Amino acid sequence: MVLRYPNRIVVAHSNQLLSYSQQARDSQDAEVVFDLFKTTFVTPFGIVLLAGTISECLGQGKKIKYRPPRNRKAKKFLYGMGFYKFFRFPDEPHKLESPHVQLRRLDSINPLLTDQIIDVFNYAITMTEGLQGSLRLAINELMTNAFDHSGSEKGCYVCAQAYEKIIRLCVADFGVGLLARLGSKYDLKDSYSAIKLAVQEGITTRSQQAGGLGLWHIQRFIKVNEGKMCILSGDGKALWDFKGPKSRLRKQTMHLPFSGTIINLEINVDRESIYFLTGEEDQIF
Amino acid sequence: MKIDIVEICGKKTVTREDGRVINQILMENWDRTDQFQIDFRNLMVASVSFIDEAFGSLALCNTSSELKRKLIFQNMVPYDRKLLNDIIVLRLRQQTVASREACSLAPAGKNA
Repeated sequence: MVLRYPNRIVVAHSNQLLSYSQQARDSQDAEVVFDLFKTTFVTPFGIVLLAGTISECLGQGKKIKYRPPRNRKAKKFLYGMGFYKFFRFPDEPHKLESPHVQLRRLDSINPLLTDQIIDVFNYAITMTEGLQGSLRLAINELMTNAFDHSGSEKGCYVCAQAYEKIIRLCVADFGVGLLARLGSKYDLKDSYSAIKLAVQEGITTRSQQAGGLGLWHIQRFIKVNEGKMCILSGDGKALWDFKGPKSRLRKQTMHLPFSGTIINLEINVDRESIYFLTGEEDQIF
Repeated sequence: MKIDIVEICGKKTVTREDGRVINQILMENWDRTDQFQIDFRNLMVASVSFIDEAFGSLALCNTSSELKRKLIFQNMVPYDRKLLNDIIVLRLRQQTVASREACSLAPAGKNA
């Protein structure tokens, strides 16, 4: 099977890209070729999706062939984000200048990685320590959900990059998806409903523990920042675009259901404002 | 009642499992204790998991004033105090009638 990737491996092309991922995982072929020859631009979303898909195929015992992008900039970006190092492909050292978090697979909370993500956020915006602490909590919760409660034994994939005007962060797991996770506890009709429910305050897959802070808190933060949050799971995709006075929620149904959940965040670089928690002045202790 | 974090936990102040040790002591003694003096002896915990598990779940079951009255945090470094406040504020916001009822049904020593 040969998967010829498009020019841009970005969340806007998620329908095609998630189909490729699922086709590669479902394929009975002994060999899968990931052909990025025509690719000129990849985001953290593309990197975690590719990494997770390739890892899944390798885990199934498939032989993987990888054709790198012809475009030098895209190739360098993949080097810089640790994609080659991750798979031990022949590597060329290339250091990205802007803050970033290299591609990682996690199966437990890594406080240093969470700190690295907060450092990337700090590049874009000025936050109080209170907000940084609460975002740490929320990011940890996102990752805990991914590797602890998604049904995935393969952990989660994380990667982030600061650009001139935007920060992109992507967390993905290749587990059972939100509908299966939440469906046993809540009455849900489809993946899109599960995604919408997952961002509500206090919604958790855990039965004996507190939880449900992650997505809700991150969404609140993205809203204030007028950024974008996109969640893909099963055949559902929900994109919250908080730019401008009227925020928009766009719904999309994927052609081929994707086993897993991807959370993609776009945070605007905003060095003029100071971000703090509402009620931060209400210190209880 | 005095709870000495260093004495009870030693270096185990990182994971949720570590935090559960403190939470169990608090839950088991909650009804019969007027005030808990929780002494950190200026140890820096800096773990969301530990603090949330040890104290965060109490904010799902109690009001802000109850927590303030019963829990006295001593010798806590400013970073941890901020983290604690963030967690408690977030958990208090999550509190619902259902979460309070679940607390009263939960056996002592279990998280609600």
